[in-house]
Amino acid sequence: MSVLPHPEPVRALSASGHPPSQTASTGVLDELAAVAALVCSAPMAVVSLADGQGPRLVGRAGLDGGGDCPLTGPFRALAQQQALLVVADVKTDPRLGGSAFVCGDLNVRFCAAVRLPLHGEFTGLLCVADHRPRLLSDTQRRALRTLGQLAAAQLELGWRTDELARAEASASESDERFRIVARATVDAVWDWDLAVGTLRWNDAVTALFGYPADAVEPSIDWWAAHIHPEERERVVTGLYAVIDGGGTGWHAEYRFLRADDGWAYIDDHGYVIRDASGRALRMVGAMHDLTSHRHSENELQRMRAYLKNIIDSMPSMLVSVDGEGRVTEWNASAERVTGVVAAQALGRRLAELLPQYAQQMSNVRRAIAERAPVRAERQLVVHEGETRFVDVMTYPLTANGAVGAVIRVDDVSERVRMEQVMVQTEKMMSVGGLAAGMAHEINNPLGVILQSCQNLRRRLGLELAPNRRVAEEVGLDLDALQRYLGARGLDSFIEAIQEAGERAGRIVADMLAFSRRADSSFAPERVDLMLDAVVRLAASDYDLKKQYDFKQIEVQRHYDPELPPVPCARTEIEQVLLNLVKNAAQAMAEGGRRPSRLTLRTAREDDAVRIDIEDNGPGIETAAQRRIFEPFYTTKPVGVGTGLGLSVSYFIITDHHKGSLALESTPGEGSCFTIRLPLRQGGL
Amino acid sequence: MSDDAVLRVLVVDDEPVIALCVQAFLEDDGMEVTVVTSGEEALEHVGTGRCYDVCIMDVRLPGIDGATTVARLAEICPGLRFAMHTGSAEYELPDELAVLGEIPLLHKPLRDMTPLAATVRRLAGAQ
Repeated sequence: MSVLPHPEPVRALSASGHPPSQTASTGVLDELAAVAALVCSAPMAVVSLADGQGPRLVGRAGLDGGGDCPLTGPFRALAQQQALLVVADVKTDPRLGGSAFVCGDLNVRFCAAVRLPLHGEFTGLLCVADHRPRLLSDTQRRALRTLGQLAAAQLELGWRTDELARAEASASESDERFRIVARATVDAVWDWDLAVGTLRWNDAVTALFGYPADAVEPSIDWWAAHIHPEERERVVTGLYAVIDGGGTGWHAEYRFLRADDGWAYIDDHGYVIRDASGRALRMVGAMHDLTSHRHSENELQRMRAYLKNIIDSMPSMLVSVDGEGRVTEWNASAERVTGVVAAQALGRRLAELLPQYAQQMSNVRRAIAERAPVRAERQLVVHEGETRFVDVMTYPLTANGAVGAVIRVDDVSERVRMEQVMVQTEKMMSVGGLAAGMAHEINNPLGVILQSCQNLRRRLGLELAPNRRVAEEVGLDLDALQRYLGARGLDSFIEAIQEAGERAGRIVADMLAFSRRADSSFAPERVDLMLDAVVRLAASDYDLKKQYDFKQIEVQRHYDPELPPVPCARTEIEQVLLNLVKNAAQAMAEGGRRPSRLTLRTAREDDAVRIDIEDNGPGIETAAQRRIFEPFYTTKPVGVGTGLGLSVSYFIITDHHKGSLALESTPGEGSCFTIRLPLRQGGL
Repeated sequence: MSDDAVLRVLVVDDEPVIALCVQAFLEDDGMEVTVVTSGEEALEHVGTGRCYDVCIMDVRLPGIDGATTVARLAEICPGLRFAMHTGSAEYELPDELAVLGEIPLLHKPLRDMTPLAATVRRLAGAQ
């Protein structure tokens, strides 16, 4: 069942807008004419009606033919001049020219007509006629007048009825228009008859809210019941305030319950229709669903927030500028890096906000001019006294006619540093590969040098028995030779050759460490034992003894007693530890001013073991810190270090053991090397 | 072999000065040292019936390599003991030499040849 009551079938409009009404009057006027004829004992009677367009026959008795008026013009004119015209003999009456009827064959001799008392432009006559000359009795005259009034009344009634019909037809036409409009709109259109209390809905109400047609009740109460409880009172009160307060227009926004229990956001407009006295008869209105609009607004809002979120959560600094370099966008990273909040940055010139990026404005102009991104990599930027590497990308913004650019700044300092480490590792790997190939070739001549030196010293000395024998054979005084060697410094030269050869041998051995395979037997080792062994070794090391007394160094041990054994290649780790301890001892010897203290610390860090080797020496300059793990980089005097110790250590820890080796140093206070070794190695 | 008997040592090295240095040191220690510069030469010497207690063998040699020479020499002279003298840090003895008992690895460069002499004596004594 449709909730929309179908309007009454449209009544056909009158064929013409003019009377006489063919509907209500025709039969009656014919009868009236017949009565007139009867009363007057006349064979014929007609009712004629005329307006600006001419006369017509609207009622007849004893007369055949169409609708044309049979009365002559002069007769009608004469009859209009008096209430009752009686022509005793048409043929002899001088006023009529011998005829009253246009159709001569009717042989009309007598004719009487009564004027119809009509309103407006219409004139009408009730006319009786006879074939013989005669007169009317008084009774007949009276009857004829009465019948004329009746005819007039009948005509007037017909016209009114027609008007009413037309009005009705017109009314149902507007109903139809309402229906069509209501169907065409997606809004829920309602028509509330305040007198009866029914409320009609259009079909859209079912589509809009999802209710089946029979669930929609034609009442204001059903509507009110579906308004959100929080808003119901406000909306209903407002509605009645308009109706009762004599107002015409009503508007409200509210939530309306849908069949799926969701809320539709409704924009409702209504109009009160009142009668002439101001009484409210009807109210019509339309409920417009704003939900999708609200949704798209919300969606837009959400997308904006989402986008802002993305932009703000980017680690990159994102700054957009207009063509003049004024900031139009300033993300959270930009706030964080610069310390300038967006509100302060917006609208200001980039060059004044970030002087260190002033030179980027030429890239902004270029990007805009060329409509292509401009990339500037590894830009050196000094920020708060610290040198950072940044990649700066400038993207032109030319959409929607606006000119500007987005500048993305990424701090790549860490990456650059990592790359340096990678390069360093690569370098060491290639050094290792080179060393492996060259070792054999270098070791042979080194063997010649070192072994020859040993033989030289032995054969120049006094201890070896054959020396004396051969000296005697050739007549040489061995003791004199000894004195000569000393006086000319020859033994020192030999010693120098020996030492140089040994140093070259150590370099080759260190370089070979790079090419050593990582799977060299790993076993769980106790870090504290390794550290103690290394300290003992350092204390008795020949090289170290030469430069200072290790016993002067106070060694503090902070070992974690719970530390589990760590899988490692013991000799390699000891090599690293020894290297670090020796470096620390040498550094502290250089410092010299305060008592030397070496701190050895072990601790567990998640799945790794941490070993700190800390000294209170002079520390390492920042510039040197960066290069300290590079092969062949050394701060020691020529001949003291090979420049490979730390890079070998680094390689052993990071490559062989998958751990890490880091340095923290404050010039003037000391250095701390930290080794981290994973507790779980690949296969273990 | 008695303690006072002179140890006979064969040094095989394609670097003549290395061989010369080893020879000088061991001779000063009272040993009898023969130097050859290739595996073929060594096989020739031993093949002609000369007898040695210990052979110090270079690994990389022109022609027959050190390990192969060792294996062949051991066939000819089962009592001969060996030490490998190599410039390569990564050198490992091939498995087929394992049957010959202990073969010490000596890495070039030898900054001190005293351990070398001791090794030779030990090998000869363990015979």
